[in-house]
Amino acid sequence: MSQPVPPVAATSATGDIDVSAFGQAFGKSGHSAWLDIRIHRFTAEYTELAMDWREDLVGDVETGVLASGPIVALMDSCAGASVWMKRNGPNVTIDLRVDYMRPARPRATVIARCECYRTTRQIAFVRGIGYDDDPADPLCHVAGSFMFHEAPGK
Amino acid sequence: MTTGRGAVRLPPYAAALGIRIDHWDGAYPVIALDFSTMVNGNPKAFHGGALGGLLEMAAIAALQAEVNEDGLPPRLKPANLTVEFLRGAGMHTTYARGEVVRRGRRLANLRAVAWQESPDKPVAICFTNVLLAPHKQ
Repeated sequence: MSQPVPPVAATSATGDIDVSAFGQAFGKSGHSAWLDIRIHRFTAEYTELAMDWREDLVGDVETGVLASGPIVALMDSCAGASVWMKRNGPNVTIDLRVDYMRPARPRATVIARCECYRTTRQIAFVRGIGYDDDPADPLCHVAGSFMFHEAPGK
Repeated sequence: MTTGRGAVRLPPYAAALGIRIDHWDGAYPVIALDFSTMVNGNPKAFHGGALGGLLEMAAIAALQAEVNEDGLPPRLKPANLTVEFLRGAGMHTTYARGEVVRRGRRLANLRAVAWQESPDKPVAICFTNVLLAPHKQ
């Protein structure tokens, strides 16, 4: 059984992006707050968010496995955050695909790790995983694309 | 959650978020989720994850409406899902209806559409593949 993962102080390796400003705004209200999604770690390569298991988020009462919805919300938030880390400013999700390798372990904290691996003028592409104990044993893989709110300057 | 038409039992997550069966459209239920701070993304619109969750519940409800009629319902295990966000979903009640595109012995291919003012103007769509697993002994 996994133990809840303690929060890690957010540290920036992303250069000119103001991680602390993002951190102050993130998860204080709305759906992310309801799910208690929080910043776990920033590195130069990826962004990590964490979400604890909760009884009222269960999708299968027989097994205690989380519903897909909270996982999608966590992965969407993390993917969007990874885009933000790449290019400052808001973005919107175009699409998001989640492939489940296995069920999330009951009572385990789920961590999302997403990398924005390419941006074009208008679109950002993201890949990532969700895991509980070990990033080498992910519970899901995700792929998504995002569009920047503002069209780039000429 | 039980209705007279099949036995659609949405999980704790759906109840916690406030997802309800609004009405039935043919063989499948139309589910609804009111806007609240619980589903707010930024700015003043549904969070993509809440829409994804609503769409998944619509797909699962459609499948339950079919399989729960045949005795002991199987456990439903999502294999994957894709959500496409088509329009901003503002601070209004959002509806979603799932559909069983194909149901095999082991796998069901589902899709779901979410809308606010009219089904002709979907705010998001979802495709999901769900495994039909036997219950644990």
